[in-house]
Amino acid sequence: MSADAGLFPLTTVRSLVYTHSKTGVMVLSGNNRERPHFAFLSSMKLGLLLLLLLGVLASLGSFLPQGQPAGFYRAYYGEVPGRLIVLLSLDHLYRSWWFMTLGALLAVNILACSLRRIKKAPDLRSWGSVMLHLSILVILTGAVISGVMAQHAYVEIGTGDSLDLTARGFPGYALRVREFKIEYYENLQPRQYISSVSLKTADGQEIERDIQVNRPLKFKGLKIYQTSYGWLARGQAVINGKAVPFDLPSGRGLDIDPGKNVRLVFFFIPDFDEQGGRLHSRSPLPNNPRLVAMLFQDQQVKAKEVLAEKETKAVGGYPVTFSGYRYYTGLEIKKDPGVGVLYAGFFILLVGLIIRYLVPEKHERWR
Amino acid sequence: MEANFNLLTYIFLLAAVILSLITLWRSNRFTSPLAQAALIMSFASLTLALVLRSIAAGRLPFATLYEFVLLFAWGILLFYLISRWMIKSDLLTVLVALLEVIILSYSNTLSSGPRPLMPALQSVWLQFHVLTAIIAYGAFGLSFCLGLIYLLKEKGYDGIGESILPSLAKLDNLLHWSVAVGFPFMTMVLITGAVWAEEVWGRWWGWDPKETWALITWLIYAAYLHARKTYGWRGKRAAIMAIVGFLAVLFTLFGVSLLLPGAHSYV
Repeated sequence: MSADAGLFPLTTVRSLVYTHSKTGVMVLSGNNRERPHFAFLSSMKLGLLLLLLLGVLASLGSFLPQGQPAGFYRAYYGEVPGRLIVLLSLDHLYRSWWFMTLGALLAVNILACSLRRIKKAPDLRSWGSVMLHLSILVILTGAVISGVMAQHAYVEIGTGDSLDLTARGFPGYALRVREFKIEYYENLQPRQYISSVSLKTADGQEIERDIQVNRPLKFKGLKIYQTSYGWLARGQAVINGKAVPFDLPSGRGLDIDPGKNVRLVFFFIPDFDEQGGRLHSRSPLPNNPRLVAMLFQDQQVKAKEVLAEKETKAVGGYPVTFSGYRYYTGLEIKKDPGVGVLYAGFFILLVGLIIRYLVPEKHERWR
Repeated sequence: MEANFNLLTYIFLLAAVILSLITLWRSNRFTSPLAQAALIMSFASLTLALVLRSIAAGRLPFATLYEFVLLFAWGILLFYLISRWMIKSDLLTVLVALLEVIILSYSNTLSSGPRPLMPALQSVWLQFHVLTAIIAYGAFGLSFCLGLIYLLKEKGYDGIGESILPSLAKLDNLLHWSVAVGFPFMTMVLITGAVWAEEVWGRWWGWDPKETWALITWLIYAAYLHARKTYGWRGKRAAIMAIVGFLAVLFTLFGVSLLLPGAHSYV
């Protein structure tokens, strides 16, 4: 982090003859012509201070909930502290201008001292050290590219349905979910979530793949991740003499009279417990699939009916038919050009570490 | 079987604490080697417990907080044994044995039942991530104990009778060695974690509390390595940093799991 020994062992330091300047900056003797602000920017003291400061600030962000609305902080921490948190950008600390400025300053510090050291690098080990310092810059560059250029979209698609991804920021792509299934262990703990999809690509190809947790679909920088899943219930309700079809995720519903806040809400229970009669599934498997239709008025349940498949019942005077159910799968779609840069940085870092720590020292180690 | 060996580990560790404390109190020809023998036996017995657990579960014990706490204790013992080639200190034996007793006592409060691997953990990155963490945290555990001894010695405490503390220079050198071993592995913990998060969650960094605290740990030890080369920061300040660094490790492992919810919920 400076022109001096950096991570070099003490023995190397002694062999090079260093002097300490008044500012605490270690400068190679005989090379004192550098201007003082450059000396400060490339000093180990600045680097040290920045490392510790970034650590302290990062810990602050782990204790304060991040990214909440401003009202949350006033309600939770009190009026004045809440306002202060928002004023100082502590509610989005890791994206605040001052946190990023400190990070940029650290990058400048690393760059400045690496440049000085490249001129002086005496042996292979110090080249390893220079490499691992420069790799941090590559990693930070990857982070900036990720932050600025990455595209994300979360989509929920019912099995059998297709979705054009153009509107979600991925022009030319379309995704069809052929099947979604869950594999279970014997104790019914999930073993794997699998979406079988067809991806129509921008150049007209159609590729069929299984997407699993830890095994995303990858195609030309596009990645699709298995993120979530749920049940869709299909049927129709007759509201004021008009048949209204529905195909909704469990827990959603239809507005009947928005003015009076009357809603018809549908819950899909895959393994309904006839004895308990509660909204609880005995198992995750569709052994006894039921639709529970509830009529709400201002959060109060006015009527409730349990329907088997193909059954029709009146719920508070509104006839509801339950025609079928299926899974939907929740997929995260992403394009992030920063990842390639990042991985290159990781690679340089690993090589730097190997050279720095595994190449034997010329002098005896520590004894 | 595994439970028996866990109990045996615990008994050996308690014996090591008592024997090494007696050594400190009244230096004695027999207690010092006995205390070290007890620690070596506890390492052997903990190793056996972990092997038996792996055989019973049909996988490496890398999946729950309970399992990682055992591995954490194992890593610190491993580095204590390595350090015996370079340094002999009864105070170090006391500190390591005490730390181990605390960690294993805590492990008893965690649910120890074997669990099948949830989908998010079914990745080859799990093995690399946990293996590098065992080595990094084991080395940092040793450097923590050495940092405490350094500060004691610096304050003027010298030990009693036979168990005189090693010189400041020797302590400083071994402290630096253990951090210099731990740091590359800590770097690999972060790298494997980032690559894995990219594969499983679709983002390589998300400022999740666990991630954040692992980064804070890394920053502190990076600061330590630089402090040792900076005029006015070597010696005592560097030792304090090594101690604070391990406190950050403990907080990453236990504090975050208990206090700060996040995506890293399994460990």
